[in-house]
Amino acid sequence: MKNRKIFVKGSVLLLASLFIVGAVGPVALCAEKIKVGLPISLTGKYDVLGTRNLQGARLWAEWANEQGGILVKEAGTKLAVEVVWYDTKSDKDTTIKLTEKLINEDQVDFLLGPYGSSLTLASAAITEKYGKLMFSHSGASDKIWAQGYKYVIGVLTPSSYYYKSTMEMLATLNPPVKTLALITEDNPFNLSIRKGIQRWAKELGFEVVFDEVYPTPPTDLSPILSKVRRLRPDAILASSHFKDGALLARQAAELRVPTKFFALGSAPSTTEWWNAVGPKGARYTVATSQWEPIDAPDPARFPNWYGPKMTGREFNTWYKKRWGKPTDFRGTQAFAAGLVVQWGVENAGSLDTDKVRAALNKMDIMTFYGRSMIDPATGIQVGHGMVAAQWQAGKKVVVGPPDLAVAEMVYPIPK
Amino acid sequence: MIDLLGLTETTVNGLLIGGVYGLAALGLSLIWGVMKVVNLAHGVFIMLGAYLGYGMYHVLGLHPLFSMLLAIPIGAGIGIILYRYLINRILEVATNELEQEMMCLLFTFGISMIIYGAALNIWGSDLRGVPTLMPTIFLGDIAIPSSRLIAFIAALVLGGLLYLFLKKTMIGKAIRAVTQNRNYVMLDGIDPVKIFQISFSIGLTYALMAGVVISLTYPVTPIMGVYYLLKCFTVVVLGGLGNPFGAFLGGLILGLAESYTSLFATYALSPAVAFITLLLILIFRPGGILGTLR
Repeated sequence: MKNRKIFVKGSVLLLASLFIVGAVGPVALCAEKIKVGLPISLTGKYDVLGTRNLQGARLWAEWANEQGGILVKEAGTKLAVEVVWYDTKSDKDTTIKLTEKLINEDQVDFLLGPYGSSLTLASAAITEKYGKLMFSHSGASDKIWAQGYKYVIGVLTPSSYYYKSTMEMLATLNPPVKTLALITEDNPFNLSIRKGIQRWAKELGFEVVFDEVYPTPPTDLSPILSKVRRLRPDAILASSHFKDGALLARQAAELRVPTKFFALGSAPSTTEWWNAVGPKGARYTVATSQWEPIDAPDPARFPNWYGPKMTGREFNTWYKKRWGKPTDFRGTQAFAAGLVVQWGVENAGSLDTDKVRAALNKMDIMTFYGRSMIDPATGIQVGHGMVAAQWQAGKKVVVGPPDLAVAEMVYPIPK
Repeated sequence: MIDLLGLTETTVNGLLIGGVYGLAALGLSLIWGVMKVVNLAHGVFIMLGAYLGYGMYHVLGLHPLFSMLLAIPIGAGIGIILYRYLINRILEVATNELEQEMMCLLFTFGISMIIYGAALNIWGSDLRGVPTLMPTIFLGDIAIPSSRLIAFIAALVLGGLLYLFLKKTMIGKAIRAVTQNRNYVMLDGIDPVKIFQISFSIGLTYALMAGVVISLTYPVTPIMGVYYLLKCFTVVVLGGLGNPFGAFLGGLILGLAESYTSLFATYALSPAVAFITLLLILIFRPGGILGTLR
């Protein structure tokens, strides 16, 4: 009997202490540092890409803390940044659960999005419900900003704008590009890129002679390429995933599909892709990329420069020093998302969601990732542009837009 | 507009990829036919074969076609170990045939998960590939990638060898006898367990060899096994459950169906056409085109 009483008393005390810590703890923590939550793919199908996101975000936090933290006027001091992350296993349900956990249990101030459009969409439904700002660094689908959400801030170029700059470049080429063939993977993200291509084709006066979608995952794309081969389009614009992109390039090379210009979306932007395809298939293929590690942009040229004063290449050297391996646009985007959070907080002088959201409406900054500006109504990114990179003799060189180009594009593709 | 040239090229390409599908499905069909085991690990063995082709090329500079020879001892070794020490025990413990089938299903699923997870940990999810090694052959304006042609020929030869083995050798005849009735064969002094072991090893070896062939054209990743497993199931049911020759025929039909769908309509419809074909076969010839192996 006595034992039971002690047990009951002990339990009450324990519960009470938990309640007090639970109620007081986060408030005390909130005042000490800025917590940024990141539900991210560290295992599962996006493991490699998600890991780069996390490394980028952590590098940003380390950099911000080296500067003494972020100045928050309301707090009257600079506050340190802490990135709190969990592995989503690249799974939608887990992403949703972890987003809720970050908001309710970890009480983060802001969230960086998960990897990829579908997980970002899933997570955004939750952040919006709780009125938390989420900075999408790896979800580019236009669909994310078509939901009427108020608190999702885009950091990267949305999918329908993926080919815009490349197609503007195509319009200036000689011999002129008149006909286009579109090959698209059947998934929401790539379909959204295709919609953009159709729109720019109309605006720029290209004729679309072939426009087909292939089911995913493909084991053979030669039936589509045989058809394209007969049509001899001036340019092929594909929107595909990394793996299909490799298959598409290999089979196009094997079937000798004749074309003057071959672009594969963002798939060919990594060295792994080049290795998987090999020199024959990869030559002169163009990648549209959110960012490339090149000697641009030059911080001295931009009065609105924000964040570390370095070019893309310098950033990548720094990144490699920290993590042992260089990054592609994925690591950079997460860092850039951190910079956007930081700019918002500094300019709002507060950690309050609505105040930061209002401040971001006035943002127009330049970073090593490029320009950043949002549409005040939706939060979608409208300032950032894509670069076009072409594989030339085993090296990927930036060939457009003109102010970032470091080499002439090889055009038309030699036979 | 469909021209004759386009039609010919489509037919050739459809047959070439169909041959690869057929080869990929041979092992799955054989194991099902003889042992009544649906080997859900078939896909990961295709994946392992592709890594074998890739690895041997990058480490030793060995052409993937030579790696196919390596697949024989590896496939036989893994097959014998898996069968003797694991599958056989499950079959012994199970009290009736249904239980045996269910337990084997779960077991091979588990094996596939372990191998997939191990592959992810060892090689990561990075994309790899054997560079395009062979030139394209042109017949007039028809392009035939020679890697595909070689894959097709390899599929034909391997399919033919399996046919001869099953029809002409004593072991082959025993395998067919076990397929028909596993209890009666014991009266003839055939040990079904030994036959199962041999069939299982052959099935795995064929999966590995198919993987090596696929690595000639297809990018290599741990997940690729899943894609091919799905194709293999369609092909096996199409051709006749448990009939390896049917599987080969099923592969050709699937390859052609996909290619013609693209030519006459759009490639986006190809999975629908594949499954409608499958449904029609199931309705009109429930045992598949060639029926079960006899």
